[in-house]
Formats: sequence, C-alpha cells, structure tokens
Amino acid sequence: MSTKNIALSFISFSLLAVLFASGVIIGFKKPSLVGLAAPDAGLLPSGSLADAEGNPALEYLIKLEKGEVTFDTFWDVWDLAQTKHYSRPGDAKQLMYGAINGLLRFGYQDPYSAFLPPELNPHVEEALGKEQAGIGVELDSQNTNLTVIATLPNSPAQQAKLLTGDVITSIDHQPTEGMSVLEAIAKIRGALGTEVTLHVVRLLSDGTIEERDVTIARKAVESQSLSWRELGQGIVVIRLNTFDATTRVQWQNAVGVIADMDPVGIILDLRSNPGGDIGPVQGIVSDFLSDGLIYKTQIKGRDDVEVRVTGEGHFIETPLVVLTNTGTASAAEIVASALRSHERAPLIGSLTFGKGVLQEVYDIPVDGELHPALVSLVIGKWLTADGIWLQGIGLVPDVAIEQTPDDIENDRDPVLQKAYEILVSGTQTDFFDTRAGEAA
Amino acid sequence: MKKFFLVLACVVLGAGVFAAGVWMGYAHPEQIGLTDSRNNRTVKTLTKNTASGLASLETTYEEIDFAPFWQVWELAARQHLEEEDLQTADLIYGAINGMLQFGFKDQFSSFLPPDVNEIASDDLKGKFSGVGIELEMQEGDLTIVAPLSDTPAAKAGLLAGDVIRTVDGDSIEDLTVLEAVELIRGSIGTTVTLGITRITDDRKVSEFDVEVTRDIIDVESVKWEDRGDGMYSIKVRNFAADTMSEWDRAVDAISAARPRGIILDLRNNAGGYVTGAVHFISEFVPSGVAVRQDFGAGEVKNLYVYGDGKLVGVPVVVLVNRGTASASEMVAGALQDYGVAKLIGERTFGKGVLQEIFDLEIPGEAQSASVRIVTARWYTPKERTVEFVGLQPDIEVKTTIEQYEREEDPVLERAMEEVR
Repeated sequence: MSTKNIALSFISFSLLAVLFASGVIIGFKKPSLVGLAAPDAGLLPSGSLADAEGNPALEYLIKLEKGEVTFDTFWDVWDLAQTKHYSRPGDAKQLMYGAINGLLRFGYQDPYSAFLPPELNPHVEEALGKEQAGIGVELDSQNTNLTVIATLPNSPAQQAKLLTGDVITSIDHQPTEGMSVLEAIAKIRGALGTEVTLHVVRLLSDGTIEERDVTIARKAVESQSLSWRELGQGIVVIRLNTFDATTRVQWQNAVGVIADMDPVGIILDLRSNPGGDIGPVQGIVSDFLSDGLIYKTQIKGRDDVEVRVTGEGHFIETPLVVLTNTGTASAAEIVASALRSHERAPLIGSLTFGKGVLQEVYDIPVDGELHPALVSLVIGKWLTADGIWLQGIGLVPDVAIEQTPDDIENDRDPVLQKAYEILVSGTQTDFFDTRAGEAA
Repeated sequence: MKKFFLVLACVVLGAGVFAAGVWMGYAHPEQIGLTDSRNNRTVKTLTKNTASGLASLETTYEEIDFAPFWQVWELAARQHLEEEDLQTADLIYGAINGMLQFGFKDQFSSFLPPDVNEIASDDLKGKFSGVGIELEMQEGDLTIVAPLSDTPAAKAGLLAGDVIRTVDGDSIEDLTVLEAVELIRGSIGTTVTLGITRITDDRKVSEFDVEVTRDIIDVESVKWEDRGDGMYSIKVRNFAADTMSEWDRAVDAISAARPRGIILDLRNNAGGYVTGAVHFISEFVPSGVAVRQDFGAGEVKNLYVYGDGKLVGVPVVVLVNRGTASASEMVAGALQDYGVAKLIGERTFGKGVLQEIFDLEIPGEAQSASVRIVTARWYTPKERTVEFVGLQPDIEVKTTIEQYEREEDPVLERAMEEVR
C-alpha cells in the first residue's frame, strides 16, 4: 500500500469515527433534531398531562421529558457540593430529601408544607413493635420559630409547664433551626418511658426573655379530645382539646347527656385547641345554629365547597359563650368564627392563632425503604362565613382577658370566671350591636 | 462511473455509521458510558466507599432513585395552593438551597440566583447604594452583625445585634440574607423602613420602625488615626478585594513613625477573604502558622505567615465584639494564641467555617449565579475553633446603648490604658 493510500484510509476512518460520535451526541442530547422523540425519563409518575397547561411547574416536567430544558443547574451544584463540601460527599438520600424540603419551603415559600423521610415516618416505630409515646404538645412554625400552640390536659408537656407561645430552640440538643414541624414532632416522639430534652425560650410579659432546658418523660398521651362539667346554676362548660378521629363520637355522647340536663347556659372552651381534622366541625356548629353557612373551602383543582348547618341542633336556644386564646387555631377557629359570625356567641379570651390553610398528607414511596416518606402539602384555604381568610389575622375576642402563667400556677381561671358571669347575668347577646367591623 | 459508485458507497457508509451513532446515543447510551443525562429518575452520585476501610479518602459512584423528588414536584405542582406568579426557576433554586442547607445540615452554604449574586459580588468589591449594614442569619433571625460607621444605618441608630423583622412593612420571614439585602438596597436618596426588634443587655425586648435614606456606601476597609504619644489605632471594616493595599498604605505610614503601641479595631468586621487575614497576621507575627484549614476527608492545609512583618514587636491590642466574625476572628485568634495581643471588648461572633464561591452559568440568564459552599473548617494556630463559641476577650468591656448614643467608646479607652 502506498503512503497515499494509508493516509486516505486513515482520513476515511477518522471521518467515520467523527460521524459516529456526532451521531451518538445527537441521539443522546438532541434526539428531536433527527425526528426522534426524547426517551421517556419517567418524570411524570402519573403519566397524565391533561392539566399541565397554564401550570408552569408541570409544563417544566414535560419540557424536561422532551429534553427542551435541563435540570443541569441543580446537578452542577450537586456535583460541586459532593466534591467540595467539607462533609463531602454527603448522603445522597439526605441530599435528595433536603432538596424536596427546599422545593416546598423555599420554592413555594411555605413554612407549613414539609417532607418527612421514611425513617421519621411515625409508622416505622410502630411496625417495629415499639410503643410510641409523646409529651402531648402541639407545635407550629411562627416566624420560623418552632412554637408551642397548646399542651394537652394532664400531658407530660403540661406538667412540665410548657406554655402557648414558648419557642423550642433545640430537641435533645439538636437545633430546631431549619426543622419542619413534622420533623420536630417526629423527634419529640419516641419509645414509651424514654426522655426528651427541650430547650425552651419564653418571652415574658415584661419584655424579658427566660431560657431553660426541660427534660420530659414520654408517656402514652391519650387523645381525650373533649371533657365537660357543670359549673353550677345550670351552666355547663365543654372543653374541646383537639379535633381528631374520635371527636365526633365523643361530642355526640357528651351532647346526649348534657341535653338531658337542659342547661341554662353553655361555655364552649376552645382555648389551646390547635384544630386538626376539619370533619367534626359541621356537627359541633350545627348543635348551636338552626341554619346558615359555617365555612367555605377553596382547594386547588376542586370546586369551592360551602359547608352549611345541618339543622338538627340540640342547643339552638341555649345561651352560649366561646373561650379563645392564641392557641385556638385552624378547625377550632372555624367553630369560633361561625358562632361569632352568626351572632350566636361572643368570644371571651384573647386573639386566636390565625391559621386558615388546609393541609393534606401524602405517601411518597422511596426505593429500598419499607415505609413511605410523607409529604404534607398546603392544598387550599378555608374562609369564614363572612368570606374572610383568617391566615395570619385571627379572631379578635369581644372581651379581652387572659390567663397569665401566674394564674395557671395558682389554678385561677379569670377567663372562665368572666364567661360564667356573663352567662349568669344574661349579657351574652350585648356584644353583637356594639362590635364594629370584622377581625382585623 | 466507477468513481461515482465509490462516492455513493462512501456517502451511504457515512450515513449508516452516523445513523448507528444516533441509535446508540438514543437507545443504548449506557453501552458507551453515557448513562447520566440526569433528567432521569435514577441518578449516579458520589458515595462514600465504606467497604474499603478508607472511608474518608475513597469515593465511588452509586445509583440513587431520584423518583421521590419528581413525585413531590408533580404532586406539589398539582395540589399546592395556587401561588401568584410562581416561577419554575424559584422552585429549582429552592430545591438547590434545600439540598445544601438541609442535606448537609449547614446554614452557611447557599445558592445565589443571578440577581442576588450581583449584589453579593458588589459586596466583595466594596461599593453599592444601600444603608450600610452587614447582616447574618442567627438562629433564624436576620441580625445586624455590624452597622458600618458613617453610613445612614449608623446615623439612624441601628446597632449590632438588632434583628430586622420587616422591610417597608413586609415580613422578611423565609427570605435568605441576600434576598433581604436585595430589598434593603435601592436607588440613592430613596428611603427604606426597617422593622427592628432589639434585645438589650438586661434582656428587655423592644420593637420599633426605623426609616433610613439610602446612600452610596463606599466601604473604605482600613482607617487609621494617630492617638498621640506614639499610639495608633487602625480600624478594619472587612476583608474585601482592596483591603490589603489599603492596609499596606496604613502600615507604611504608621511604621515610618516608629509607633509605641497599636490598637487594631476589628469590631463589626464580618470578614471576607482568608488571604487578607494571613496578610494581617504576618504584620505582627514573625514566624509560624497563621491559619489552619481542614478541608475534610483528611485534607489539612496550614497557611504560614510571610515572615516580613513591619509591626513585629510593637505592643498591640485587638478590639472585638459580637460583630467580629470569620476572617477577623482568624486575626484576633492568631494574635491571642501567639501572645502578641490581648483581646478587649466582647465575645466574638463564632464563625469557624470557610466558604468558597463558585460561579455558575444559567442557561437563558445574562448574569451568572453562584454557589457558596462550606469547604473547610478553620482553626487558630493553637488549634482552637471559634464555631458557635467565638473568642473570649482577655479583658471584657461592654459598650452600653447609652454610651453608644453619647458616642463614648469605653473599649477604646480601656485599650489605650492597656497598650500604654
């Protein structure tokens, strides 16, 4: 073979190699150039694109599938962090969970939505046969501080004198900064009989700050969502602690007994009730109102729903007052707002929490994990009968009166006392003409 | 004719090879090592090779299933309460920040989108239009580390430790430091109202609004003063790009005057480049380690003093407070370790990590983004860390708000006594 031929075949082979390589690149990176659809990356788990239009986050997924956009910025940072970070390479799963939390909390700017990894899923411990216990505290995130909304009656948290408004800055010496409420609750819960140490910061009424470590033994916290007693002169106080799966039945049982007593007046105590399951609200409000709107829900992708009084109440005519405080939140605020909007009961106590969002918890399966992760999403809001969104606003009481830590220490309850006096003097309807405007 | 067929054969062969290439790239990328387009659900990622026994040194790749991320992405896209003008870019940036901050449990690593990045790089250059405050996130609160002197913020009476709750009436909850800075900065001559929470030494809490008029903040890093009797004070505000040359000019002037004592004021100095710290330490310490850096995974790198200090042997004291952070803590810590200087004032901030800044081009964006990653922990020459604990001053002197308002400086006064 002549030198010329060797050179020629060398050039041809190089040419073929270049052609093959460019083919590979086009086939891999830009299949649309040669009329091929992008391979299915499986990014849309549900596979349905019907509602993608006008939804930028879904449209992005479709473009990503087609290879029209990339997620490269994310992966560039991922690679940088995995090769440069002091704690490199990090745990890939924890990085993914962090990304999910960041997507919800920074991306959607929503402190309520949260992701709970499989290992913190409360079902995990139960499946392992360990009896789960807690301390009976309801938490929320306020100004990014993990804040106590309420303690359940006779719970370890109440015995340890945690109060509404206390900020928990660490759980077992792990800072709560950046922790979601869901995650914090999972960390506070644990095996029965074990202890958890909380660092609690309290802003006192004179403007000073008190800090302390509290070690609390976990107990099986019974969900006693309701209790009631007679105060004398035919006045009954019904205390609702929370709204959960048992509330409806407990309410019906209690109401049956109380109705037979034909009470002179009822005090509905919703203080430190953080809400929960919205289901029992309709039945409770319907016991006090003959008709009317209770609340409206607006949920993404669903029709607005108006929830109305059923018209089968036990106490339609019974004089009524409602007790509230800053721990009265969510479903408890729906009850309070409905009874106030229809001028059925004055609110005695202090400004309510102001939580108007509806959340739903979904399972997210994770490869190689027995239990799914959980994601809690804010899916909508509820509005009062007057059409007001209470988020961040709360309900203003008709009579502003507070139970101070000192009162609690000495078993005094000036709020309940005030409510009792109002009912005894029959002045519970005096508030409706004078009150100007709405909660603001 | 023969030639024609030859050319045809070549073209067909070429097309065939090209098509084969397309097919390989499209249908079987993994066969030629192209598994990672990373738009996929399964992602190759670095992982520690714990089996090798050299856990910290060797890394291998592992596949993880990224499906949960995309599942939540889709779920949130469909179900999350409608947001006004939701931007997909913000979701991606949020995911990146979450990956860094929650994934590495590290509040100092963060991603800066293009608009915010521009502000941050102005900072390191040292000139912008704003109110003149250095900010940090402390326990979830946006806290003023340092009001720069002779700026609108200082004139308005803002203090180190003040927490900013609102900017122009809007809550800044959930914003990052740089997003908040973006709101506070603006055109020269305009005003911004900051909602402040202040906790004083006797633990009283007060809340009030402060209106501040924005001005050009030309951060002059180094300012020195002849205090008489051969005493000189040098105030250093930060460790920016031009700090070292400003420092050299100051030191040249002072050393020519044969100083009898130096007061190095690092109060409200939030730090900056590490090289600046080494430069400063070298001026006072004749030999030895200036800063120890631990880059993790067993990678330790010590930075040594240059050995040409102009102020070696001159009595020196260092003024510190809770606004003394990062690079300025390196200087204060090293001088304390070598017994060269006493620290006077209050406990320092306590930032014992180093961040590196990496620029990132974003497709479709004119400006680049950047990511700050905590790449190392640093230690003083005596291997102390300041992380969370700060440096305890040798002589504790506090400035009360009343003294501050009367423009008294008991720390400086105490320092003058000490160095004499």
